[in-house]
Amino acid sequence: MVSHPDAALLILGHGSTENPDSSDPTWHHVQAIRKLGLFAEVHCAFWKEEPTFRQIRPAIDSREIYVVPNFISEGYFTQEVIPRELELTGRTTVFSDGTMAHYCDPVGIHPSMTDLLLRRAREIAGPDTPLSETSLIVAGHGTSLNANSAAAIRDQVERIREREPAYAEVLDAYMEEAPFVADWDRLASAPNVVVVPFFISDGLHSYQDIPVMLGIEDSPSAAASRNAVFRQNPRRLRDRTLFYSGAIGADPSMVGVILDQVAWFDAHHRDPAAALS
Amino acid sequence: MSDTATENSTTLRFFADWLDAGGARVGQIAILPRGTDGDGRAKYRLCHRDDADEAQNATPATLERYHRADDALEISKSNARGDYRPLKSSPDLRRGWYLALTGAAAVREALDFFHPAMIGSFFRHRDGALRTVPLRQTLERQTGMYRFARNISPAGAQALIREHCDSTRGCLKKILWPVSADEPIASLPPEKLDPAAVAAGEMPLLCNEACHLLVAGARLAAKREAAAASEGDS
Ligand code: SF4
Repeated sequence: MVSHPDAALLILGHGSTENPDSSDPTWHHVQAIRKLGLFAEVHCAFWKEEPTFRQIRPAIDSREIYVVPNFISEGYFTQEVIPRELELTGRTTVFSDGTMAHYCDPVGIHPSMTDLLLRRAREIAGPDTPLSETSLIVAGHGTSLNANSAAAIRDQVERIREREPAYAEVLDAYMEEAPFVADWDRLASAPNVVVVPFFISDGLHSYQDIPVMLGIEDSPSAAASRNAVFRQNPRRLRDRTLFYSGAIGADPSMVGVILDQVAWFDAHHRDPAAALS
Repeated sequence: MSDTATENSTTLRFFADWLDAGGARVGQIAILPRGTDGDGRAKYRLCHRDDADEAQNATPATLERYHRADDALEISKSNARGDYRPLKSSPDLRRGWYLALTGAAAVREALDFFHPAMIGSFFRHRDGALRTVPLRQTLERQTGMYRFARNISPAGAQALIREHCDSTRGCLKKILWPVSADEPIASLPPEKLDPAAVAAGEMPLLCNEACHLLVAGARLAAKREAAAASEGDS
């Protein structure tokens, strides 16, 4: 396991000015990693909440900072907004005050996400559901705004097929582009269908919009009932047995993926010449 | 927080000194010293400043007791009406609770949930090392849907700042940035712009750069201005 007792870990999230739960998983990951004692300090910062990307620097004492975007894919935020707001110039940025930041890849593209998706799917399907009679659907947002998020999901689907050939099929589906989540029963051919949303948090998409598309809910449910959406597995719907999971990013095992991204950085991008003197 | 982190954290040392010197308030939070525990570690109670009298009682009957620094995350999430508080410095922290903590590190951790990054910002500010960014520079930097925010007029910017940042309705932070190098904020009283204008023992909350809410507000205001102008043209 990575250990940088002299460095800070900074986890970056999107945050929301409207959804009070959007930043919960990121905060939970921060608290869990603090308890592990692997870093001198662990912080998070958000685009739309406090602490913001711009506020966080003065709160960090360490001279070396690992920055891990808690985002599902490469895209506008990881390639444009975060570098701009944190004034990052590359993989490792040395600032004028001599401190340095290592910019890791977003959590969603790490290979260990595949293991997490598989474990998640297995958990909600339960031990008695035969995989050979089960379609696994990884669900995403998928808009033209961020083509990379769909690409990240297609990558995961490919990897799952290789890693776990026992599933009858593994498919991708999207809220806003074809293949549509709403067509899940036409896309999937097996009698059991497991749907795992490839989102960072249980925001409105995973507990309101997707349940409506799946036909679990008639209308977007109140935020208070969101847990009920995930607990009532399985459901008989459209002649299938449907299992629906919460957002993958809310899984406590995401802590491992965040740490894996730091280890990946150390193994692949760390420039020994750029060590702090 | 581990002991190593405690020793290495300059921000924590600064904060512990501030507490020892009588530091007693951050935003709407009152910090009440409660003597020491068996190991000689300082004990504190944090509460809403308007609940400070009640929280001084041995067992504050009307306040709900919390004892973990991270309980602050839930307490500060929504106001008394249950509305979400995306801005932690909005002047509507809910009342009716107190948080019992031991040691400066735990108090700092709780305050970092109540008012993220504010202790570090104040520390750097005292050292003269907190960078401030004029509003125009923040707006010019925006891309995507927020690019339009830069079009807000000078008068529109002043009105926006008054509306969003006013301490009684919007935000408790002291503003350290100007609109631009040669354009100060003229729409708020001088004490809003003066970090030293706080009560004895109070740590000011500092705004060294316009927040996302102000940028989003600037975008909407700029759009309204543009719509009004094109109506005027036709
Ligand atoms: S710009 Fe600063 S002072 Fe104004 S509302 Fe945002 S945080 Fe508060």
